[in-house]
Amino acid sequence: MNKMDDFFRKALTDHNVDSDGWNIPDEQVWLKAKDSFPQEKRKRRAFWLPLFGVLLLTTVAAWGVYSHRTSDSHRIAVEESSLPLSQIENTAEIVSTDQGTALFTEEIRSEELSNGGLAKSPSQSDQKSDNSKVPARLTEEIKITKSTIAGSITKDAPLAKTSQTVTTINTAPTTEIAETSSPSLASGASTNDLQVTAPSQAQLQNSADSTFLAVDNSSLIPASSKRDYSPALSMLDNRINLLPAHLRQEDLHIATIEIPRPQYPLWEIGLKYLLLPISLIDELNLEDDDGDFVNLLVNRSRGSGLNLSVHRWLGARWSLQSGLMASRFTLSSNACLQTGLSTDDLGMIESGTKFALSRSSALQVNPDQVQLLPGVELAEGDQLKIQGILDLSVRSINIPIILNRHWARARGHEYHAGLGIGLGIYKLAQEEMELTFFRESQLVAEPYLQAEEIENKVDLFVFLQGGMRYPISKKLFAAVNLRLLLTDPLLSGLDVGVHYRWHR
Amino acid sequence: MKNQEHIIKASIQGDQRAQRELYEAYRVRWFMVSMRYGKNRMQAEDILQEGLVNIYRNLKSYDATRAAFSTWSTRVLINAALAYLKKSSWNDALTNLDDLHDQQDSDETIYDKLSAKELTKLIQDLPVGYRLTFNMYVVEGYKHKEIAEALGISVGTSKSQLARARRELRNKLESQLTASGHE
Repeated sequence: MNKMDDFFRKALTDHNVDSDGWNIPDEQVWLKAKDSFPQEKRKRRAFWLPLFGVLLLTTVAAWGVYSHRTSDSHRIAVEESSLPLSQIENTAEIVSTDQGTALFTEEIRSEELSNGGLAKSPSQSDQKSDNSKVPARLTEEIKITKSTIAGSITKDAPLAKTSQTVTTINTAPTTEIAETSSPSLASGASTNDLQVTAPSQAQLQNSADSTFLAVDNSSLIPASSKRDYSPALSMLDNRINLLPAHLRQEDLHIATIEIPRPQYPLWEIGLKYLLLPISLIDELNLEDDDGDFVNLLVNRSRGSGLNLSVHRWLGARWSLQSGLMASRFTLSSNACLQTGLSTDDLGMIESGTKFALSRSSALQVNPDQVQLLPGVELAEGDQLKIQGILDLSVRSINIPIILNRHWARARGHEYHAGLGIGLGIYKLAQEEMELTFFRESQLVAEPYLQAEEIENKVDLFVFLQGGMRYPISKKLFAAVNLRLLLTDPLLSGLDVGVHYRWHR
Repeated sequence: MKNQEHIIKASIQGDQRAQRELYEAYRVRWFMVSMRYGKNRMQAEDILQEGLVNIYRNLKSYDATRAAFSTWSTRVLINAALAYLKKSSWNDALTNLDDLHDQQDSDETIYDKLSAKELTKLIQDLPVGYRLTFNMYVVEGYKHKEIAEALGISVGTSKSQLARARRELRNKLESQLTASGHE
């Protein structure tokens, strides 16, 4: 090792950029080499996870509601026991049958979904509610105790109770059933006259010579088909079979079911996860008529958001929707813009004045800072290519007003379509990016460093939407909604979530 | 350096931004190495290109506990340079050279008047065998045994190549300085 070696080593291991740039490699070297680099394994973004979560919740909730309903509707138990006559306080509840004299008592626990419960037990039966209608939707539990009376009853014994309330029950979701109170029994009526605590839609009523089932109004169903409607009706049927033969009327019309009147909800709120399909795109090419194009090769992208919506129903088929849509979209991509140079462009590049070279808002170039390489001359019509890594994020909050048309289908499915406008507040942020300029694969300018840019703007947008709701329960719906922004299709998205509904 | 580790990890995962950052950090070093091994800028760029591919493809095998990234990447690049030059049949040039004696330095002060660019140009003008041996021994610090193994030549040949390279360089330096009026 001699001094010349030392000198060479020192001089050649100084890796600072030389003033004339001789030790900076051509950009083409990098561009050619990087194509052979290991590519990022695009992570399969778990965009489906929220969707899966919502579907899972929906399934579980639907199963829960269904199983609850099913089990409740069959939870009718009859217990038999022997009861001394002396313990019977209300002889009005004694039923004489062909099989003997019995006392039926019952506990009926029911819940009416729409008004928070309809728990009517015989103990409440003395409350006057003549002709009042209480909608009954869902029976949770019915328990009947049949007690055989140990003792004899005097036929002429007066009845202690002169009125009673019958609670009607129906598991059919759309049927409203009347709860009525029977008229007072005539004083002196015998115990052979029928008295039934009827846990059903019909009420047996005392009369001079006959017994009939009081019907509330118009629509009647024959007794022969009543089992199809409600377990409670079946139970009532059993009671009727216990009646003295002369009082039984097989063809009695025993129940009333009102024709379901057209109903529509009052309010509805929805909370949905928003997926932006643009986040699934790997490559994007946009081209205009002049042959200019922008190519984005996406390295990383993510788009999601939340959609909180409020719906006010205007009728059975129309609703007005508003709410808040918050979304965020981030993108990291290799961007390439190719544009043909015009005379104006040339002059502006060379003079370095007020020209922004790019046709794309993402690639704004200040010509003051574009330095053509020595010896490079541009001519009109040259195709100039600008490349760089683009990191962009867009955050937005939108407040829409949408008019929706709804269609109801079998099994409670609903479809809707809507047209709306909205106000959007956007924040666009673009990180610093280095741009390189090529003409036919030859570097023509020094790399250009574009500063970070942040832009806030308020914009109006117009969009179409369509989707469907699937009922989980009477009030809860799973919903899917496709939203197409006509003013900015790239920000169109898919909403998946739940809606909660208040009925009239 | 944590930041560099992060960049390397991201580069391994294919993050193009990180790959670019790594390149920006080392491109001058790598290109200067390539320039010394290539005969001209064009060859240097070819060497760098192949070197970059090898570096990035082999990033997974880089062990930060065994060597600095600059050292490791330079070695990978030199291997790429050797492979590149091998394709250009430089072996023939190596074996046909005469064995010459080393000479003492005559004028030490002349070195201070030359830039790295000019020195690189002098090295580039050397015959390929001289150039490789000089670079590997003088600049990169390889031993003659390592050079011999890398180039597939004998240790004696490596030493003789180095001696010739030095003589050539000295002659070029003197003539260049004379021509430019430095002396």
